[in-house]
Amino acid sequence: MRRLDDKGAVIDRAKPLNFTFDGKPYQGFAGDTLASALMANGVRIVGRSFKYHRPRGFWGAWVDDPNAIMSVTLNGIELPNCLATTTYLENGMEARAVNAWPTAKHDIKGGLDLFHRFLGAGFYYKTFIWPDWHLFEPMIRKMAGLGAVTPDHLDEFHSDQIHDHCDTLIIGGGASGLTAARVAAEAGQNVVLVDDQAQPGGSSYQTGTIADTAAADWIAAQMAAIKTAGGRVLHQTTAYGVYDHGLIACVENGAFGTAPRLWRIRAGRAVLATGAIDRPLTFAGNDKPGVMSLFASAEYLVRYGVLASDNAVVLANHSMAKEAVATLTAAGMAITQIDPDTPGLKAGGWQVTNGISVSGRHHPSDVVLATSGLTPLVHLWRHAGGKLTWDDARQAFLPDGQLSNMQAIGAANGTFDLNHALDEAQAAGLGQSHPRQDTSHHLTPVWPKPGSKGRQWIDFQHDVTLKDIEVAARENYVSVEHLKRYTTLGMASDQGKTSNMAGLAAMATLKGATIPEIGTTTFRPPFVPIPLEVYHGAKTKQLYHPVKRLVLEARHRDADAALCEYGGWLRPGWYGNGAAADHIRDEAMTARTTAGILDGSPLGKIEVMGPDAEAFVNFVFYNTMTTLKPGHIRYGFLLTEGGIVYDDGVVSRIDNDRFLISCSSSHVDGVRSLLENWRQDGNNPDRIFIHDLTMQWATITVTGPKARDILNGLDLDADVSADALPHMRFIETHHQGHPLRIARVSFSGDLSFELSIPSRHAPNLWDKVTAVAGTMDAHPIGIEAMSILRAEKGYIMVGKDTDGETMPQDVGFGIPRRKKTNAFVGDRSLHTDKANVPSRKVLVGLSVPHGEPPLVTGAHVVTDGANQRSLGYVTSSYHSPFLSRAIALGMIEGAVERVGDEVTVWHDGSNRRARIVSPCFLDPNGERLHA
Amino acid sequence: MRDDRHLWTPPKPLWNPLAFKDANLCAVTLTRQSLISGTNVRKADLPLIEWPDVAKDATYRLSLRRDRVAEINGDIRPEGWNATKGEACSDVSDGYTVLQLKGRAALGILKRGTEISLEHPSASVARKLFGLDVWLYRFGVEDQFRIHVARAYDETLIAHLTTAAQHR
Repeated sequence: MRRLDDKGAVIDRAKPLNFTFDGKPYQGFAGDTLASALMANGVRIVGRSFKYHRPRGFWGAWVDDPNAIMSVTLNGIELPNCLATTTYLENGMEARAVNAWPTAKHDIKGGLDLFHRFLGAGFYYKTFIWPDWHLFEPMIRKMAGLGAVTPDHLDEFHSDQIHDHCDTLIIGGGASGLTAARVAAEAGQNVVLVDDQAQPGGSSYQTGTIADTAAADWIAAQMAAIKTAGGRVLHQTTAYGVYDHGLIACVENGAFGTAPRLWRIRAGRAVLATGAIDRPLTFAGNDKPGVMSLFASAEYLVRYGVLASDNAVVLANHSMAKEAVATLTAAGMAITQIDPDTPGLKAGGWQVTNGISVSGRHHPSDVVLATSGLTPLVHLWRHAGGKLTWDDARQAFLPDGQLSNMQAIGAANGTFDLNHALDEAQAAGLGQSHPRQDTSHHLTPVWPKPGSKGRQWIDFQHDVTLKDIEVAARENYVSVEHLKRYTTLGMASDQGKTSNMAGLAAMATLKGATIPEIGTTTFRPPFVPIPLEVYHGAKTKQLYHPVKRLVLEARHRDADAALCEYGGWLRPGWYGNGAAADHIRDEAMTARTTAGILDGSPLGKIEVMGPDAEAFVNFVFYNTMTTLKPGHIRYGFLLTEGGIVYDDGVVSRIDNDRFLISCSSSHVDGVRSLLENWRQDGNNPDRIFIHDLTMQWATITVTGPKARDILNGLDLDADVSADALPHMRFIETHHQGHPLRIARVSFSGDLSFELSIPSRHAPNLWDKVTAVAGTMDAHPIGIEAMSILRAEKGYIMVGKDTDGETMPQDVGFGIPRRKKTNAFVGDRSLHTDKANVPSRKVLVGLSVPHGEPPLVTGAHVVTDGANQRSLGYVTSSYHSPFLSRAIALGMIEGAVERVGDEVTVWHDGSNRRARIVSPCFLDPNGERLHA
Repeated sequence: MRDDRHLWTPPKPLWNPLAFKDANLCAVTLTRQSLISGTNVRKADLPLIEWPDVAKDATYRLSLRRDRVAEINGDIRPEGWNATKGEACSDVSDGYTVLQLKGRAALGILKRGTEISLEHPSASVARKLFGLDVWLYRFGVEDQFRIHVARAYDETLIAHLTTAAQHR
């Protein structure tokens, strides 16, 4: 292996770069890949295989190489599993083979290969089943995998994500892609050309001349023409997936250590010019370093000026090899050609190949250049839903038929003749179809020969041999998908680019079928490995799952609030530093003795308006709403069609044709969608309109015996006395000239008022309320205290005290289903047998003796006796500071008939005793509520 | 629950403009934003802004869907159902924060968060931007964009726009 002075179209010899591999220093040039630089330095062993730790050299020159996988460090940034053939060299790079220690050349686990007879396909399924797989699992998992992720966090490794549109997206910058892009751009189309290499041209450099012009000049001319015509070119950008509605995902790589950029391109049409890759030949010892792709060898020469060897054996079964052989020969390589169909071919040598032995004769050479034909890269075609057809002449799967928004051209379409490919590209540039021409090349099929001698590799990275395919066939894993999973064929990081065709052909032979009868595995994105960072981009940390922010957040922070996420909102859980339980207890006690001030702004505020609003609200709610008068409020349930409680809340009737639905804070988006769905389904959407005004209004809840006194201290022009504003009524008034709604509703069981005001005025109102409250020893409370208060009263939280089977009668609301005459959502489901079985879980209270700690939320109420069975579970459990005892709510089978009974509550291996009681622990007659 | 107050950056005053490379972002205070729904709401005399229209007037209507518009800086309207006009009206002036992104880089920044193109018109200015529901349109000049976002998410949107601007 050596660098030639007169070759290397893409390297800059004026810019030498130093790097190391497995600790040893080397030098390359700008424009080199790690692979080309290593080849130029004569490095032949660059990695180890996954299972047997066999030495591996380069097979390919780009994304098709399965062997040279490295951890690369530069400037303190280490990235695992970099493919040496696609990683551009930078000064100071330190590369290490991932599956070898201490070096790829001298790997301590290389001895595993001695046990290969026992490690064939499916060995661990069979071997480690007894006595228990989990006994072996830790060791196997430790040995499995390639590379290791550094524990260091790369703070600046953030992927950019960008959306883009174009008329025509050309995928691939080879001769076909460049031509199509130029023609399309010159025809006035908005063109984007994506090419995965830094220097476009694909394999064009191998052709020498194109249209009587030197390849490099022709490429430069095409690029200039594309740009002049307004086309855009994305270099080092790989289109890796096609998704719905023509969305094509592309990843753009930059300098080493920088996160790739994701392009989501919506193209009017895409032209697939992804080319084709060389197929390995299957023969004994074909995995040895030095056995490499013929076309890759030519690519290393023309792009990077690296001659793989001064002498080589070429195994080629088709006429397309001629040009590559000529190129290599002209560069000084002495080539011996051998028919690859000759029986008994074997690559000689111990760690690396030293030539080919056949029929007792050894042909010495440093490299064996093999090719068994070209495999078109049709991955994106399949992502887009395109079909494939088998072509006997080319011995390859080709795009079949047409797609409305994608056209395959050039080698990707099986058009291996350059002149045909350019004609096809011309037509594609103009959006015209062009029938595929017959190929002028001749190919003699040479596929794996099951039963032949020697260890013959199908998948280089995962060590799948021909014998493994035979084992799979023998054990009836003959479906191509089963074959893949049983043998791990095609599971390597190249996803079968080099191995699948040989594997399919071997199975076809074993089954006596044709290759198309065997079929292919499913082509799924991504086409090349993509860092997970590309997928999440900026959506990390606070932007990963952003919370909704309260307009009063600054006030809460000033008051030392502990902010927690409740239903997607960042809300005060309690106020104060130190022991949370103490603060929560104090807040709950304050709310019962004086008053608590709660920021209830997230409560849903959805208005339903229109001439059919009354009928609509009555339809979507379980409870009757037609009898609700303006100014009145009614509690109600929204059910699913299955009769399950979806949400609860209160409905205020503002006017005859205007209702305000106040739903749970965490369910606002869902309730809005539910209402919109019903509005448009079975109702007249032109007579009902739904406005979600949750963000418009902030709500401050004042709850407790002193609540009315606090309101009276606000100088409101409204009478909030019990007579003027009884429980479940509301009024509209003003505060400092701004609209103010006062709703007399309670979630605590005490006298309560919800004050709603346009958000921008909420801070002033909050300041006023807390100032007045402070004079009465009342203060702000958080959600945790409110949770205790509502549990004391037996008020449920939907989703906490209910589950996916809870119907309204299970929580004590059985009347509407018996008496409501109008149709409502969920009605039918409430009358099924299942809805009426006596063993339904119903809401009850659970009481434990005074002095005992609270039950554990989630603990099971179980039957007594030897075989305990769950009867239900504790849904909410607290210590009530006001009642000085533990309280709990639970959903328990048939518990209405069992009030007063003692039950066993099991949790984590221990039993406790509790008594089933009414869920209402406080003020059962409502005196505090109606005060 | 866990005290997460330190995990979330305290809200910053929205009136502090942010300068990016070739773009700047600021909050805009509008006189009024009214949400109006009805079968004829698109037929008013005010300019109806769709994408990629440029709103040139002080008062205009944003086309949201076939039966819904947002009237910007319009007259005070009675809220609720107007049977005569067949319209439902709500004041949402406090429900939406309005941001203005201006500059040569503005469209590129927006492209980080949404599929947007001046060549692809839409009858609605409602769209997802960085996963958030917004109303997005051009105002005044070609490279000035207004974004109405639910108030509770304005911090999130500003953070997204800031991050996107850094990628340019």
